[in-house]
Amino acid sequence: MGFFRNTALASIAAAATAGSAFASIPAVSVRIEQVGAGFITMNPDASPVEGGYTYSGNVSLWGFQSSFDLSTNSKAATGNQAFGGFFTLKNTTAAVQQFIIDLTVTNDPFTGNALAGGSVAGVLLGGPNGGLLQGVGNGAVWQAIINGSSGSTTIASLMNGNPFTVTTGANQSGGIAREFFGNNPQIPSLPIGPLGTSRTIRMQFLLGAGSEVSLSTSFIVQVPAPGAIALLGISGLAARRRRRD
Amino acid sequence: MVSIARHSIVAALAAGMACAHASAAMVQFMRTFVNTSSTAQDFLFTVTSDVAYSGQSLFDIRGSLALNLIDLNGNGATVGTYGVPMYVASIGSTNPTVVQTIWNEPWSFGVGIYGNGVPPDQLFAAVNVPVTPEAVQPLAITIRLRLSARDMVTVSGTFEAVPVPAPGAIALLAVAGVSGTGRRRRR
Repeated sequence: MGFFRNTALASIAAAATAGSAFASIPAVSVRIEQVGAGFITMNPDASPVEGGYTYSGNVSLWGFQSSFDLSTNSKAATGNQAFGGFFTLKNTTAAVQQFIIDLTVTNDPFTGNALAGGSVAGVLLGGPNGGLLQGVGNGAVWQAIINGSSGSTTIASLMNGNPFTVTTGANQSGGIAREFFGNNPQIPSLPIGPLGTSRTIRMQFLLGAGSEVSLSTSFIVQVPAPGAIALLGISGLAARRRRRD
Repeated sequence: MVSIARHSIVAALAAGMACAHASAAMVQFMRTFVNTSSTAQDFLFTVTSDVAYSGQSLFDIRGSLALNLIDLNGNGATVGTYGVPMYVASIGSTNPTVVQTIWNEPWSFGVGIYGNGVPPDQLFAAVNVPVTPEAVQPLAITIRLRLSARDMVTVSGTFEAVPVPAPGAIALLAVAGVSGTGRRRRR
């Protein structure tokens, strides 16, 4: 009888994780800074799709044109919550420009030990003088950041170098090889502790005159669904009681 | 006087040919395709040059293609062809001549769960490529791709072409050069 009861509870727990999505609609913000010129922050609307939302927008300012196609996705069966997509930026000036991009998404509250992983890859289109994407000094082009009430913590840095540099020929397209973290054995697998209130993908780089870059990027976290945690807790208590009996 | 006029005409013709050869028409693009549906979707995208040549039958061409695919819904992603090459470069309007294709059918590229990545870059260059002469000859790139459900891909391509001077034009240039030399000698 006890065995049957525990089996039933386990089934309920599995069912609870199979259909759930985000506790609330994730809010996304996109901040683009052209160093020396200014910055703009956009808060795109969330359009629902199966398992999540999409967010898109575009802007032309000072010396750049930019567009983004981002998405959030919640996989109830695994507790994985994905954020990422494509961010595209063109330097419309005749000189190299420095940009800082923050793609931020709000997190469902989670104070346990979350797992994280992410990646970045890209395509670079050269202008008349060739294409250039370069890190700033020895800094990473890509960072994953957890934002909490007590501040922000960088949990991963990708595209590091002295500096990290990708070039293409004049008016030529080329790929930017993928880099990733938290991929052992599969994204997301890096323990990061509590999730904080939001998480940010920061991209900071120099972009050559007339160059255009499109970066595909993801920042995945894994958090068990609240309903599943509660049911697993009940299941544990029931098992303990059965052992006592 | 007549001689000078004749030289001027020849020089003007030669200069015109030289300008056409030096200023290449070009098309290039970077575009993101998003499949928000629950099934694989086919996408078609064409970009055409602002500048068009006229009556040219030989071109030197070059171009490139790169692609970046990402999966964000945790089941992997695939992009591929659907019966035709993914990249087709052509010259012409009413009867365009295909001068280059990339990733011919069947071709596909995939990434794993929450993966992203880029296949090897594609570059091409060729000289003296024959083209059906037309009155209006823009350059065009046509992209056709099939993208898996709820995934995204960015494609970037370029295509550049310069007409090769016809033998007659080369002969005119030679005549212009010889005439110029003769004129300088007579002075």
